[in-house]
Amino acid sequence: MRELIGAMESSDDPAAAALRVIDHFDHLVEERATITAVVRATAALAGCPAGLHDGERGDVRRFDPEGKQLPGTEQAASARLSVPGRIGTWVWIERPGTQQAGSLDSLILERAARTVQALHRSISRTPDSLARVACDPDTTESDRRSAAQALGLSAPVTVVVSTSPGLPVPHATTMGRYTVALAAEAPALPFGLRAGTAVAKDLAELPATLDRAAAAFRLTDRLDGPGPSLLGYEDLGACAALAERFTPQDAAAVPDVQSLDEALATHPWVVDTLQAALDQTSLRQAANSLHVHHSTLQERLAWVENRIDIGLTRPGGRQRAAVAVALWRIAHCEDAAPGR
Amino acid sequence: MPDQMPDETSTDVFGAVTTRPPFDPELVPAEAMLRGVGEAPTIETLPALRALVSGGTIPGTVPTDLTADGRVHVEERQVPGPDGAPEVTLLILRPVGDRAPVAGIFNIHGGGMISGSRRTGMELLLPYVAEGNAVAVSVEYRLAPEHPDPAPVEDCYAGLAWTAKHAVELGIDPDRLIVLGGSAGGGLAAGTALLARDRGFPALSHQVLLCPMLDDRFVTHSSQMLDGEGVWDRNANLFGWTSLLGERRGGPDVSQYAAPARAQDLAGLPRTYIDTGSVEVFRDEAVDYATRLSQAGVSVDLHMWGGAFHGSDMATHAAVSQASIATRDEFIRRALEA
Repeated sequence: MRELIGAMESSDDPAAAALRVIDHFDHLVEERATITAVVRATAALAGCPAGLHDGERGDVRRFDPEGKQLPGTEQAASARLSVPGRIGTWVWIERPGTQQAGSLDSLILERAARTVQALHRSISRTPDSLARVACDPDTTESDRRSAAQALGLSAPVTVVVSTSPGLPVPHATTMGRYTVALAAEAPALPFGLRAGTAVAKDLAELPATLDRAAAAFRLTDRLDGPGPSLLGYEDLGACAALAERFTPQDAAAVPDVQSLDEALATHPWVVDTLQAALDQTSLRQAANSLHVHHSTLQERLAWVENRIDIGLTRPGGRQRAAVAVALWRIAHCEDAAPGR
Repeated sequence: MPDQMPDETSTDVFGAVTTRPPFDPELVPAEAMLRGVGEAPTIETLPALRALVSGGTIPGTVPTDLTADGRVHVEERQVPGPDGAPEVTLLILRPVGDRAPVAGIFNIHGGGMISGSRRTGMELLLPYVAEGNAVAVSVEYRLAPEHPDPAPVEDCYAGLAWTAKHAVELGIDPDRLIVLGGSAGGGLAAGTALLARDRGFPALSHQVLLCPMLDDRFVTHSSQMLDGEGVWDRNANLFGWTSLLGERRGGPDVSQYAAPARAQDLAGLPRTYIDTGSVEVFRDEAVDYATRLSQAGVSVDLHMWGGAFHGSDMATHAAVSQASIATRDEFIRRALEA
């Protein structure tokens, strides 16, 4: 395709080349081609990689001029253009620095944006897509504000991150493996919800706040576990740093976490026991919360001290146990099936 | 060039335009763009068509470096032609450096029997050579209408026979000799494979027939379904066949080597790959040839790409082109394996 356009560019009639570009995109509109086909055509006509960031769908599509899909991250766009009427959405081309901008680049980009707009016009703007744009770190400040305002939100906004499919909170959407909801002020969250929350004091902070709520989520316990299943980032203090700095893989590599995992294989009560003993002020209360006899709890704590060297009564033992359990939760934060 | 083509007019050959499947939406702009590039082939437009196709590249673009930055040794050889005919030029691409013999791809270019050169389409075979997996030989056969049948297919056979006889010298493993062609080249490849079978030499391991032009008779549904669209329509096809066969076209005196769709016995032909678009005049003859090869006991891979037209792979960016190119590439790579 590019060769054909190239032949036109070098011909004496630049208008003919421009017409070919316009015709190309017009045909795609008439044929109701897919949006992905529009991105491929953009790359093919430009003769360099091209992409589409679709904020409302929350995805990136990127192709080389031969139609091969490229990783979905925008690389040094040489020119980009917003898609009219579709917030958080733009097309771009990536002409390498060594290459001179083509005389048709701006026309190709303009037609690509119009074509995406035309092929999308039947899709209405849903709260789902608006919430996605509002939390999209790559979107522009003004698009983020428009999206939040269209949802009727103004700062402060609480971001709720969960794996429960149906969040009983307005403006819930799915982002990757999480369900994310945006709520005005501080929402009353129901019991029986495993979630992390964080508060954005400014709409500009929404993407970062989403990350914080996700960090809080990584430290939650399952719904029927002894630890808290609902955590607010603002209440975590220093513990938040663990969830923000450790990836699940990093956490899983920590020796104490590996010891806990090995012990769990044969003694499924190990983490719950430590969590209860850490959270309750007395062993008796801890035993009650676990529905076990006081002496059973003591035997189990002794087993933990002997076998994995974490002793709550030793100096520093409680800190070690607390950090180990927190890292264990981070290591296993992606194990939870949706809804647990 | 003859002063005029036979008197037969297209109305004697064509019925009503038959129903066709839609073009793939992503290919529609490419179809329109390609339609605007050249004029319909006629005696008058033939020189311009040849200039466009035979250059191997489109004007204004840089020709492919067949040496692949020094990884490929490029050579041309004059080899004996058919009895009493001029020598034939072969373009030979070999991987640089000493290596064990590799598969040989004998390429027959397309161009409607009336255009194209030994360089046409070679950039598509270059990667196999540059990666050290094949020797590619491309034959400069004489073109119709100046050189009607059997000149083109006999030139192809002469080039193939020479290649097989000199396999050791060329670094080709004679057990892996593949004949490959697209469009008219696909038809000539099928005809050359029939000649090789019937003359008992050389043995071919595979024939790769890409959207092949096999049938001069215009009796299939698809041969009637494109008029003024689809890059190679029934008018262009009639011009191509009439250029090759003259007044014999469609009659009883056409050999199976010129129009392999006429071959009755397809037993003993090599392992076959055939592809076609669903919106091209060659569709039905390609599918029929694949079916009859299978019935004759030949192992065939057949791919029909819905919504694709003749040459639509030139629009490489389209998803259906990606699929067809990848499938073909995968087959060729398997065929090249030792």
